[in-house]
Amino acid sequence: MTDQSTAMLTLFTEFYFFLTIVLMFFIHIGFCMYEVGVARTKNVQHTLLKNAMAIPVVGLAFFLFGMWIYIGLQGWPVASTSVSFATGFEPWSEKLAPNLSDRISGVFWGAFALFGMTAASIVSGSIIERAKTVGFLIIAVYVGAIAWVFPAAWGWAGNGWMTQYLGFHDQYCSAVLHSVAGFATLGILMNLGPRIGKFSSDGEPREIPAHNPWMVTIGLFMIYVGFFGFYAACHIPMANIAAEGQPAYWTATNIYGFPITLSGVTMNFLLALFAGMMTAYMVSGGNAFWTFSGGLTGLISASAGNDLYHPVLAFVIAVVGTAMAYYLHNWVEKKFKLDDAVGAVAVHGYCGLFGGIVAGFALWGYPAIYPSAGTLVALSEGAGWFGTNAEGLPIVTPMGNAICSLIFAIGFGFIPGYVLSYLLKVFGLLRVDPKVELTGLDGEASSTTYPNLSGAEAAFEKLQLKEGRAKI
Amino acid sequence: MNTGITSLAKLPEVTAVYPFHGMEFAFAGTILGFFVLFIGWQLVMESKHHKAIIGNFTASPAE
Repeated sequence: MTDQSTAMLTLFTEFYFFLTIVLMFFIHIGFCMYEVGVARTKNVQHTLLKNAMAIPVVGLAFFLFGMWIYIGLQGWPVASTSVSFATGFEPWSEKLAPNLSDRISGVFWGAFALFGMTAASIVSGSIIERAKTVGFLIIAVYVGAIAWVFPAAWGWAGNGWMTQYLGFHDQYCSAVLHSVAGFATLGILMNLGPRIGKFSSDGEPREIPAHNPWMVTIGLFMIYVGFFGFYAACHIPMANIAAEGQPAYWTATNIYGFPITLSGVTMNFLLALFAGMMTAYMVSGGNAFWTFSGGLTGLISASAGNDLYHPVLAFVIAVVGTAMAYYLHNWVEKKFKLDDAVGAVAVHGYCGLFGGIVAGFALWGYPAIYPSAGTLVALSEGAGWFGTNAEGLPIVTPMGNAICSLIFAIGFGFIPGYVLSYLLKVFGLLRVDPKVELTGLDGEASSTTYPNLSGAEAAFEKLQLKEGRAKI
Repeated sequence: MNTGITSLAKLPEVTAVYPFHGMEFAFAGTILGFFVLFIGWQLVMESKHHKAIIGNFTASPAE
């Protein structure tokens, strides 16, 4: 790069996305701690490794085909019927490697791969203490590298056909990612079944004690931290969005090329978090698990429009979404005997779908895209099936957002989640044998989880003392 | 012999700087192979682990 301003823009963008990846890893630390805390001692190592291995497995799937889906299928099959295998994000691409002519593709890929790992981790916590790892990893590949990526290509990109033609708006992935993963979890739980002893003979759900509530607490706080990175990674941090021939207008934009301020986003992020925590604290009667999960229900409920909402609007949406998630979770659990160990269906599924639909009402009439050369967003011919603004740009509508959100949650989440888990069940890859479940999925390794409590440490000390005495 | 970049004299023209440039399809195939191997490995490893647990199963530690 020989031009100084181009170099500054490129290097800033490269470093910006690099940092978002680092921050987003906190989501995984959080998920791991959270799930391990919820699991009983006999399942700790299995729970940890099942979740942790989703990171590389989904990451490799994203390298092999996930990112290509996102880039290559944005217009397909509505705006374009052709599919390119020269997007620069195929696994054989020269751009996904040290290349002095491209400094963005790798960090961009990294941010998206982290999104995918997050999606898979959403499923992981719900199915702990009875799911087979191999079955989960196959599910993780689907949820993390396919299920949410199609919705993202179509509705979470300025040039996506759902964005252009249906005016869909979901800036921080309420429906695109959270509802997909949450509803896929719902379908999976229906085939997986509850943990032995979760429900009494009269159908009342029992509280299975978390082996370490402090890990649950810290884990959820870590997820909050990671969410800042998740939000940051959804932006184009700096672009000139002025039309050709007009004076330059430098700004951060949302994923649709619409100008935003990080300042406003910060306000909305925090107000939604506050609302979720406070509401969950109130409705749950001060239950710690729900209070901390409430931060997530608040955020996910408001995320679809948190780039443009007023902070108080974000707050109100987060309050409603959180209360809805809490009551719906308890009703569904009791009515349908669904054992969701971490409440992921409610936190991500219900709130994600709610957030996606609500954004259509709250942002009704907003331009769904803002085309510019700086963001590479371009208006497609015939865009705006549900209406256009004075400049001919597609607008956000309740109809557009509701249709897309439901397609994502049901069509990419629930139905495939149910079918895939059913197939895994048929082939014996979904659930462990009851003897394994009762013994604990860690088996003999369980004694090494807390050696000081299991007696393993004391046994070694005894041995060491015996051998040591012989040498004195 | 060299595996890739030997000079940066024409820096503005330099693009890919990794070794073995041109073997990207082979690299992709390697990753795919490893990916499949891992899933298969997990399947076998988990099956053995569960068999061992079932073999050692007693009614419950509490009884």
